[in-house]
Amino acid sequence: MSEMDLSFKAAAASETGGELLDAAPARPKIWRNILHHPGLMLGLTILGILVVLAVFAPWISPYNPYDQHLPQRLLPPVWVHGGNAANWLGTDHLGRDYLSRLIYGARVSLLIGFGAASIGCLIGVTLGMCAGFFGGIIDRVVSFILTCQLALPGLLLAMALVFLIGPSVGVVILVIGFLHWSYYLVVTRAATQKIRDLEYITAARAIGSSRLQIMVTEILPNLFSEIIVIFSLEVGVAVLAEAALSFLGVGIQPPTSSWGLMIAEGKVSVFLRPWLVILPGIFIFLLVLAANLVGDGLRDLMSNESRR
Amino acid sequence: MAGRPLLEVRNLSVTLPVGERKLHAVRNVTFTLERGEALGVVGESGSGKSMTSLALMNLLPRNAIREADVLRLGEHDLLAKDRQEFSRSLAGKRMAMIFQEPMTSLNPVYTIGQQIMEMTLPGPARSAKDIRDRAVYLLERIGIPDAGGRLKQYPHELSGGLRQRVMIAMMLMNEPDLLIADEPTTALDVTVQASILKLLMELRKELGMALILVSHDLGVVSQSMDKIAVMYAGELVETGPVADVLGAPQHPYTQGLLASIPAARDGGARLPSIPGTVPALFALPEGCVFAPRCIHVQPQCRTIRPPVQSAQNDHLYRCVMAPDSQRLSLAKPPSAHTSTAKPSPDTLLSARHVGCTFTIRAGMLAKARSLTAVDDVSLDLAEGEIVALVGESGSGKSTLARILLGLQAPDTGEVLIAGTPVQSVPPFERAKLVQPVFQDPYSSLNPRKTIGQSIGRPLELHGQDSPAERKKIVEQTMELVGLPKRLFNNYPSQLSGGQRQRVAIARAIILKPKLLICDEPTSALDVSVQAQILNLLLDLRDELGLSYLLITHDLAVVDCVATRIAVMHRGKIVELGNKDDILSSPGHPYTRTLLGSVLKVDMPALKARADHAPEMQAHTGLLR
Repeated sequence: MSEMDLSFKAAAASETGGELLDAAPARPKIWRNILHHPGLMLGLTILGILVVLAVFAPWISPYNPYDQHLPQRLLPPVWVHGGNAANWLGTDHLGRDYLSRLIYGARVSLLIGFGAASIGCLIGVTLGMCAGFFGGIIDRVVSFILTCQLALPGLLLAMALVFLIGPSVGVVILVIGFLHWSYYLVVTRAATQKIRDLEYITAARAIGSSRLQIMVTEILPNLFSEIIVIFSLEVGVAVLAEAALSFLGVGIQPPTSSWGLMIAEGKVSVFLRPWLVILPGIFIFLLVLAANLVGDGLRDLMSNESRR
Repeated sequence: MAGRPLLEVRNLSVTLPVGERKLHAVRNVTFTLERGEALGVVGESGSGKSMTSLALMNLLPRNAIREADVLRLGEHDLLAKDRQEFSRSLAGKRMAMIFQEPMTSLNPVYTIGQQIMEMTLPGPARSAKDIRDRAVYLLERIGIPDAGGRLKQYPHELSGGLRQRVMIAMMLMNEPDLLIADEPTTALDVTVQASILKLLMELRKELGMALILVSHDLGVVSQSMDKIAVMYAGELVETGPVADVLGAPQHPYTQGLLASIPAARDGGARLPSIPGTVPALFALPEGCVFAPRCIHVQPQCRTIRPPVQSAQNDHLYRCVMAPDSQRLSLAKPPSAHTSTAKPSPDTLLSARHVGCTFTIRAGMLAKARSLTAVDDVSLDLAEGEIVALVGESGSGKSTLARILLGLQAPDTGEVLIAGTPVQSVPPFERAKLVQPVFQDPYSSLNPRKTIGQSIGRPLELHGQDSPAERKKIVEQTMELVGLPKRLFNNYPSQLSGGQRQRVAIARAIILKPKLLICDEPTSALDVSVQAQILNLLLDLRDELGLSYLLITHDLAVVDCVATRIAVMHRGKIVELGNKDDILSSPGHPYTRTLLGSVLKVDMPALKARADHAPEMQAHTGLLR
């Protein structure tokens, strides 16, 4: 089929004085590539399920995650001796349904993951593009800020900040976001430096584009592939950071449900009732794994696409 | 051994898997090479010439499939040797290869001495001192003064030309029987190119070594090769003694290639060009690979694979048409330029004593050095003129272009555009007067924008028209530069180099500027496509009344289109005048060097060589 296509097109093109062209449209190809990338598909599937759970938590979860049934506390999951089908994954130390709390925990984790990654993205990309595009003194100042940021002990600082400001989901998002922009900066700075000297930028200047216009309309679209990859990886990092903060007691506060908090609450009985720790652990693992799979997969696809 | 050629290649094919498809990079290539013979392989990008040389050196990508009936060097059967065996016994010893890019083919962390001497290991036959002596001798032989001291230098301390000489010295350490040079001079300046080629030819004679020179440049190959092989789309379409093939080309592709070389023409007439570009051969066509672009195409060309015919003894070609020396000229290009725009007295652009100096600082504490890129340059350009700015890399041409475009302020002097200093013209006004066209069609278009977006962006920015009107104007402009409208929503990565350059030109002319500053607009393109783009520039001058400042290192292009020439050397304009005056009687020594370095296909000389050969009698109609 393609043989016929090719020779036909060659003939048609030569008649019009045109040239041969690989006529496959760009967009559908990307979708086909996604479908052919098992890692990316797995990551997207897990992420999709978790997003659906989080968004429709009130309808999906079997119980209200805040309802306490003290007589029925610390029930084991259904497959462990003593478990019952009413609470599939058992209950916690206050008798709250564990499955419902896990489903509601997805809301917090995803919100913090995407929220913090977005804030970091905004800071890092802005600084990185400015440093890369203007160079000189701006580049040196930004690089100095970056060095300072890298020298800070991230988790300790986050703990201190959350402790000082007072813990809430919003504060945790802001603090984690403000501490995770270095990757964005490094990558966008280098990519901007490379693109800055390309001829289409000069062409844009020659038609009278301002610097801001060049940065937004010419350079930024070329950074999307890199930014998306870092973004998905940073989502995983932020989820872990939230879990760590909550585990240490300075993140999400009870009774709000968070996977890190659930691990912290279950750790006293980790030897007797390991599922209290393992179940939220599995969810954190799945979310971070999915984020990393999506990030790696997108990087593969993007590098394929940008290859001429 | 006697009577056996040094290199025998029969039915060599190379297939590259690309995704699920197979690219037939080389198909049924057959040739032989005697000891001490020099073969030039020419073809445009994608013709398979580099793949052929890589196949000989066993350097193909791992997933490539190499097939051949016979592939032998002297008594060695190359097909029977695997990679390891080949690199142990033959590579670098009996046959060696030089690559195009001297900047990347030497390892930056070793001294050149280490790299040269590494080619030969000390053994019973050669002591370490012998090896060192030979390295010094070779470096001196290839024209590197004070070779003993240079051995300790690192590649970055040498210029491109010197690095290429070092590469040659490396490859000659073991006196190979066959040297393959893949575009050895393409990355170098013209004056350096000539000296490197001369050196290669001298060394070849001295060492009695056979040479395969791969090049896209017919001029380079025509100079001193014995035989020539013309490749197209993976096939050898014509081969034979240089004088025969270039003097009486039989294959339409060879004829087109020769005709596309820019040369002086009366009043800037159009160049003959081959329509279309080299196809990527994923599917083997039933007929002739050249049929879609051939102007002599006949019905059977599309159905049968043309046979190999002989025009003279060794002069073979693959075409259905009978040998016929008279069928030389291409069909005349359709529309010759009837009127050449007469330069009017209005001065469009004027540079007055422009200078520009860069300060280079190697590190925070290093002493700043200053580098004068442009030094007291004065240049006028009148409406309708095509002024060529000629010079080598590093002569300050591109910096001057940026200053003239108003993108960089000169340190001294001033640039007047239509009578106003360019720095005080608002950017939007400036954009309607002067626009750039760049060399690299790959980096001059934003890969994330469609063709329509790229071309329409100037209109959008200037906010003149409604989206619907913009689309109309963009489509009209695309038509003007010869781009089919269906490409409107395609991305640059789907276009060929020539098409991209058309897009860049469309973007430059859409604001209807008066002057285009073209920085090497064709040097990244193949010869046949170069002719198409030069024709387009000439057409646009006539239709839109454009003027051009054409920055180039290619004197053939200059000769073809320019009205005046400015020669730039080390930041200064050393000569300025009418094209004919400068080309016929160059005044400055540098201009003379530049002119002397041009390697043209010298037809009269080739004809003379052909006439002297006794067997070159009238052989036409051999198969009739």
